[in-house]
Amino acid sequence: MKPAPFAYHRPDELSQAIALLTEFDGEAKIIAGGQSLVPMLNFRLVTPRALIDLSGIPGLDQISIHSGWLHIGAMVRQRQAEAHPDVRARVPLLAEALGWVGHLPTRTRGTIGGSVALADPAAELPMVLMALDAVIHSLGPKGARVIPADQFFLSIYTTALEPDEVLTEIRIPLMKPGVGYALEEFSRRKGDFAIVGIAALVDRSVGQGQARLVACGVSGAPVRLLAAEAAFSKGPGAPAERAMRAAACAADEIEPMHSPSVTIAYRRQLTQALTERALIRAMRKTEEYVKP
Amino acid sequence: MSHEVYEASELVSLSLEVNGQPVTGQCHPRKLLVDFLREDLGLTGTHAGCEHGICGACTILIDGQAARSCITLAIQVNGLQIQTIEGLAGPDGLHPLQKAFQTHHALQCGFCTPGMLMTAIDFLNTNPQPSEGEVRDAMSAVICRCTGYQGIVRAVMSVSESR
Repeated sequence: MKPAPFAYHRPDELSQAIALLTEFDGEAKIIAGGQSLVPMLNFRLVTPRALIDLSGIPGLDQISIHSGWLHIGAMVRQRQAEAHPDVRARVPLLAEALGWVGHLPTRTRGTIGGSVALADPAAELPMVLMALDAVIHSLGPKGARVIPADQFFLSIYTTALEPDEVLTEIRIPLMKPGVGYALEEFSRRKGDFAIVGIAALVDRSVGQGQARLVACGVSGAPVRLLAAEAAFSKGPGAPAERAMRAAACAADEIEPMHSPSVTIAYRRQLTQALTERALIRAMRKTEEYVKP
Repeated sequence: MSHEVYEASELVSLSLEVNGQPVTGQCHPRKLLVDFLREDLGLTGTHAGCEHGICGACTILIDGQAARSCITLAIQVNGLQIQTIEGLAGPDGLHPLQKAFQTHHALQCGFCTPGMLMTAIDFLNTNPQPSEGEVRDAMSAVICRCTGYQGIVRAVMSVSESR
């Protein structure tokens, strides 16, 4: 199992990378960390004429905070972000999610940008970017674009990026202190892609607690669980009861994919169980802030 | 830095550091790091298992951090520092982790062991006093089909406790 032959480009400017994408007209692939692309090359599921390696372009591996936003360059490694104090302190849901992405040795080289641009339907990072209202910055021959996460992930391995555009940066609003968060997922082996994953945020300062819920693994792209959010944020009863009702709504509102190994009913069941767990854990997190 | 371009049929000159020694070699752009180590450098201690980044047998250290050499291109590590299983034992014999694997029967067929050891080295560097749960979590990055992991977990725990 070896890759088919390809030419290799390592430009030192973004404009060159974009020019190459245009020149190869769909027959070149961008390589960031390569942790998904190289397996696909090995299987010859993809046989590009050329790879365009972004690792030679200065400045893409930076993490920084500017006026309320966390900026993550396209070449920031998952492991680098997971260990970064600003990520852990200011966007802790992202740090938690990174712990679920593959294993430590794949996070060494895997990038956040690469996972986002690939858009695997079961990946944690697209789900978390949607939950956090992140935006994706891209650059192409027509210039720069800023694409909100909820318009970026279109379907299985399909994003709003044009074939000649490069993802350059991801920006995430810093989480409001006191907002509870949790990521719950189930996979058959640790480190595998999730069968179902749920990201939950609970803001206790709004009404009786406003929830934000996003699921991955249930359909082609991450989905907001709007009915479940409403059941939690606006429904009657104590938080635990509302979490239970929200979970039932979540199971109901998803349109799960069918696969030979995972039935639709099982995906609904997992969605229900994980939504309830995530909401309860996110609620508990908000209590931690209240304690002296 | 400048824009580097290599045609598919072109041999790329690589220079990197492997187990503390400067090394040079030539390969095509499509050559996997695991194959460069095994075929070009003769370092066959790094095992090619699944060849798609799942089993972890090919795990090595790149600039001190564990990574899969079967889903890394040799060309991507040009100029970097690599450590393989061959570099683990010192002049005084086996590395403490290797000794612990021996003591705790942490291997049977031994195919996954190089990847297990390189994974554990990196893990203990980042988390020197892990809980057993954390060790199980970390070692799940490498698939062992013989031992059932009990000996592996005990071996890694014993090294962390003796530190």
